[in-house]
Amino acid sequence: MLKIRNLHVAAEGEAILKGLDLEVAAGEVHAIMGPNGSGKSTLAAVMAGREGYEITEGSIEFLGEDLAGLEPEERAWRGLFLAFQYPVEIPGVTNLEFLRASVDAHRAYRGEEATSAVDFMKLARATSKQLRFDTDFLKRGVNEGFSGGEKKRNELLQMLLLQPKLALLDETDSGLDIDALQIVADGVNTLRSPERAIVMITHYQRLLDHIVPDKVHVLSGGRIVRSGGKELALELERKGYGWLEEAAA
Amino acid sequence: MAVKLEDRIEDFARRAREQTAALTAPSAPALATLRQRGTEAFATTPLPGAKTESWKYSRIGPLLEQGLLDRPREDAPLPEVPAFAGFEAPRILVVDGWPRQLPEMPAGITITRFSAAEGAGAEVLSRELGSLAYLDGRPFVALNGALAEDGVLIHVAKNVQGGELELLLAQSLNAAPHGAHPRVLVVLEAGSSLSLVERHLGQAQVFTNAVIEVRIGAAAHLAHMRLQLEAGAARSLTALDVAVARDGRYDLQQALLGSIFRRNEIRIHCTEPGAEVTVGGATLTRDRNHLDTQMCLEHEAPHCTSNQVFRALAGERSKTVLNGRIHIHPNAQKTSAELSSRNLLLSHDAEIDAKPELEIYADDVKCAHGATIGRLDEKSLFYLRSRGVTEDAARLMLSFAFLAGVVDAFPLETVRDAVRPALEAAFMAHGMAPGAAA
Ligand SMILES: Nc1ncnc2c1ncn2[C@@H]1O[C@H](COP(=O)(O)OP(=O)(O)OP(=O)(O)O)[C@@H](O)[C@H]1O
Ligand SMILES: [Mg+2]
Repeated sequence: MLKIRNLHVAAEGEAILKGLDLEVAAGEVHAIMGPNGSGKSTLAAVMAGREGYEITEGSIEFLGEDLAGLEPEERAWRGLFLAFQYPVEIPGVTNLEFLRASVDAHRAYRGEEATSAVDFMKLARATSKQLRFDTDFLKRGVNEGFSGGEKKRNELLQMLLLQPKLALLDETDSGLDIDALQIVADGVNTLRSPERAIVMITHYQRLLDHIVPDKVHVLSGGRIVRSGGKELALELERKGYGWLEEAAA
Repeated sequence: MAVKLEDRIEDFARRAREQTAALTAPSAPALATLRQRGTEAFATTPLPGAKTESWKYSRIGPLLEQGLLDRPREDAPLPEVPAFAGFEAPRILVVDGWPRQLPEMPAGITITRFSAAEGAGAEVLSRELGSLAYLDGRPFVALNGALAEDGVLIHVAKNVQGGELELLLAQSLNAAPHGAHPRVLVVLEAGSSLSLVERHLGQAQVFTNAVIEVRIGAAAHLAHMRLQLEAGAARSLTALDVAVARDGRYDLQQALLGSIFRRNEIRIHCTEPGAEVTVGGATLTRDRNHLDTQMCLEHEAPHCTSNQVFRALAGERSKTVLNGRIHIHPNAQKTSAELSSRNLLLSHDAEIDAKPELEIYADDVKCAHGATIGRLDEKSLFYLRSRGVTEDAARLMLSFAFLAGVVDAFPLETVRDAVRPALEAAFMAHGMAPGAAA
């Protein structure tokens, strides 16, 4: 599904990713861990097509297509979804209006008709309920004044409505209380299927108790320096990153 | 062969004077007085030239073209008035400055042509007409007085709740360039109220030089909505002069598009303690359109409040001007005056001139004044696009999010609901496809 080869990415002339390789097959769940500033969010941003990040070498292939030539919305239509580490607030655009525009844009791409207001409202309410997310949040401005945890839940709400093929979760577990973590994990788990893949960026092994990964990678200094099974996360919890950085240097 | 601007201005003034002299004297005394004063003032007030500060950003070239002073016909064919979804109220139809259709109103509300005013209406006219729109340094207000052949009086008697009213300032179907000098006087006596929806219609090459005077009595309340939602070749100049008495309330909400030349001069006087003024403006200019708002709030009495919010979008090579002046007179202690002006450039060639002007002569006042000019937030754009919303649709959503606060402040729901699609249509008429946001 996802094939990243020798990826080098620079922002403002500064090299951030320096030869990253990663393959994710359909049906798999991967976790990416790594120290602050190592390039995890940069990887997510460059996959989603954010401006300001230049691929200087290597490639990202998603479902057999090179992402470099696609606009952010075209990537979304093909089934790529990024849950942002820091979702933006957009006062003046209601959450409901935003969600409906995204869902209808995806439907238009598939040649389907736009949803009716009533049908969409039903769907949005049901999905909110699944995340135990008060439906009042649908009426508010996108993420406007949401708490950290509420923003993360709103990302999940979008993910569940859009049903992506590849979901990239950038620290979606940060800032969640214990109950919320369980709810979010349950939400992510409903998305698991043989046709879909999930990549979670996280600092906490705790999340991996709820969403058990097939593979765990350590991103450090712009490269994947170690990959393993879920037991690697436990090892990191005990030993930190220092030993890996030394080994990689 | 280019003709010098000064010569064109001189030629315009000469033709205007000739035109004034050719009109027959009106029979209504108040109108006769207005005409005489206007004629005299116009003769002695120079038209704005290249160095006139308050006209710095509005070049009067488009007003000087051939035919724009031609007298409007009283019987020109009436335009079709496009429905304004959901909004229905008694309608005053002024076409090329001529009052053509006036509604029947219940007791307590008088709507009459100046030329037909009698009894109490005539008294109000003699007392108020021309008392608010002062002439000093304002050649076009003078010209309106000099060339106004009739006008409309709206009078709401003491303690009468006047409901909703629509005032249409429209162009006729007379396609030849001509001038029009609509004149309207609104008087709300003490304790009365009115919701007035003022719509400007017509996109032909017509010079509409309107003057609207509004007197709000003690504890009276006027909700005034102004809609200039057609662009095109209309040359539109509108002076609005308002006085608010003790504990009176004036709420002006505007949704405006530019045109080849549009300028709104608004002066609001808080003349007695307790007056409360709110002003909103949601504006959009496209192509090479021009929209100039000259706002002036005169705080002349203590304990008054004013709150103004302007949101402007400017695209292509258009130009938006906002001059927001707040003048707090020496005795106007305990004044609270706020003005917020936020502006978004949608293109690199668009121009926005947002200029605050504070003159404060009292020491115990609260006054806040802010103006910003920016572009759409790239992070928000990316966020929407990453969810599949096309770039054009995302720009549209964010632009309207920016205007939403002002549009939401329209006090009538029916008007509010019609304003948004009208602004969207204007936005999209320029190849900004609505895409998934529709
Ligand atoms: N647009 C940018 N311009 C310049 N530097 C950038 C830009 N984006 C990221 N960086 C830098 O690249 C490095 C990697 O940042 P990134 O956000 O990818 O780290 P991260 O692994 O997600 O860290 P964290 O765990 O703290 O979220 C940091 O040093 C950061 O300052
Ligand atoms: Mg990060």
